[in-house]
Amino acid sequence: MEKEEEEAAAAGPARNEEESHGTAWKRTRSGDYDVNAGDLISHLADVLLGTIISLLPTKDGGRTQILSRRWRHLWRSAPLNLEVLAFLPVPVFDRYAVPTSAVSKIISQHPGPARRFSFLFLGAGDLYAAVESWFDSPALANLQELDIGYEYLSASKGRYQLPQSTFRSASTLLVAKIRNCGFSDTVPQSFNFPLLKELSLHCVSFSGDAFQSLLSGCHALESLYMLQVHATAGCLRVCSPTLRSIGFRHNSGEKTELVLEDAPRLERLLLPYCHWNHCVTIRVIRAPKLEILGPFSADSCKFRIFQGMSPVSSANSISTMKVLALTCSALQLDALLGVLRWFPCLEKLYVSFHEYYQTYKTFEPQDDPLYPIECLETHLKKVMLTLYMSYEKQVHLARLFVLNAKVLKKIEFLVWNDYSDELVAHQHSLLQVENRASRDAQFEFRNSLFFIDKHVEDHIHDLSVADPFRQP
Amino acid sequence: MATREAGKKMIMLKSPDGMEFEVEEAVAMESQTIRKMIEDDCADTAILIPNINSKILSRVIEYCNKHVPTTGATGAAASDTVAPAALAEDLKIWDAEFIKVNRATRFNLIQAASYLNIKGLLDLTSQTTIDTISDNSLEEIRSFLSTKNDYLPEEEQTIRRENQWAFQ
Repeated sequence: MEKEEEEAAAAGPARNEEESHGTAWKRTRSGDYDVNAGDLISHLADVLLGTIISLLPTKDGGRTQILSRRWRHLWRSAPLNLEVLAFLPVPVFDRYAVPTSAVSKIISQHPGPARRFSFLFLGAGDLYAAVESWFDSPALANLQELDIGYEYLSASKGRYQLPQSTFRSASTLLVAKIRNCGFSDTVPQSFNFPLLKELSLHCVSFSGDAFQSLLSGCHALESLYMLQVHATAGCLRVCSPTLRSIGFRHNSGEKTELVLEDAPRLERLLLPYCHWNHCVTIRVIRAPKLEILGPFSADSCKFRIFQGMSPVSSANSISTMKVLALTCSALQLDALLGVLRWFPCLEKLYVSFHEYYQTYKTFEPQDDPLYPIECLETHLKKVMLTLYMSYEKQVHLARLFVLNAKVLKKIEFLVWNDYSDELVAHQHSLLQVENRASRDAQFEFRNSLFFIDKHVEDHIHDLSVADPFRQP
Repeated sequence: MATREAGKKMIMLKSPDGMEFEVEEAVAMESQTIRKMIEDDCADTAILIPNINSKILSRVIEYCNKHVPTTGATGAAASDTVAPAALAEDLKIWDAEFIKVNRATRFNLIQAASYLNIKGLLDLTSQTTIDTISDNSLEEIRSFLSTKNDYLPEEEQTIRRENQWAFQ
């Protein structure tokens, strides 16, 4: 047992921690650490230690009982964090989560309340009844975080519904993730989540008005991620007075429509992995604060954005938009320039090139002076080009920003090698920076691989970062 | 002893070892505890912060200074030149440096953050402890926390047996 822990520790990240911490700790272990520090932990109030315990993985939290007498009662007095392994026919070991067989023991030992509960069913078998009883236990009262649903493989197109008791703690939930299940309006459910701020729906299907009734029950929702969410009507209508961020991903190939019907506080619409073949229509009816969008493919004919009844265009532009991320194959840079005309007040543009190869089709920039791109005239300050390989068309595009963006402050090029001064000078001459439209503009070449889709998906709910496309 | 300096309202914080720190009101109000005192008008004279010595209090103030929103009382100049996103990233880097302190200081900072109710600082200071407990053997955790195993062998056996799920 101890040996196993030692091994796990050796592999753990703590060994690689920052210098000062590492040395201080080593000193303690060799015995010459400042002894006045004494039993440091005894100075901390139980409630603080409780907070720490409830943030630990389930097994680690339980293990703290054996540290010393001081710690023995703390696990019971701290809110429970219960992560249960998905029920699988073959027993599996997990360093953090507990198997289903341990749950009844744990909830009989812990008086509650709980901070977090996480469990995926294999199927709607006998465990269904067991889970109903778990939710009845005081140990799971006042949940703040819930992660529940069916195992991906066992879920057949979201036909399974969640147990009735799933949302017993609806009044205290702050964060919820619901996976691989269905909500039906044949059994009308009334939802009431007064505090819920973050909701993730993964492979969830809704029939009839079930999606609207779920959303309208969320009275404080700020962030919503929908991954493969399916509505029988083919259309997801969002009405929410509180939502600030929506993440939407739909890879199944079937047509789907997301309608922002009334979202007065919505600031960002994030579209990770929205590649060229996704049949997604976004329709903006009322989202007066929408200023961050993407990444979507500029040259896809299957991805469409409407404002009201007609497609977004230079004549039907969205002037609230400030930050845009696009993915682009080297094929159709003119499509990308077309998209820029949709957003006249754009300040920041991110372009990720997806095709690495040069194609034969020549690029004819649409820099017709009689028909200027409005955001280049007055607003565009920052451009970032990732996977920049200095292919002819990429250079054309970058040069177009250099020569036409009048208030440009900076273009960042994320490249694959460290550029020598010589190489940078060569790039500058290709880009004709001496003729730049904005005298203040700077050009930076950085060696960096950055995959914007992954970054965006990992930060869907992170409202603390002002620009979700910016590379950390 | 609230004074005015360059148009910003100042608050005096006093540690039990007699040091006084004059800080901008907006910085002090990063602490929900102090915010409440100010809002309840209990801040006319210096605010005594019990149980937090000057060394720790100065570090807490350093943290609050860095984390006070730039759009607030620290003036608009900074927020005009620095993009908010850049700021958030810089803050994370700054935090990582800030928390490179010895264990005693870190535990004192946890206490201070808790008493003064500064959520960001509490999360930051607790996280290292959480990482340590979650990544190490029991002996290493005890060593890190300076906690002695004061169980009798048979007591320890009982706990292990009763909580088998945690040790498997």
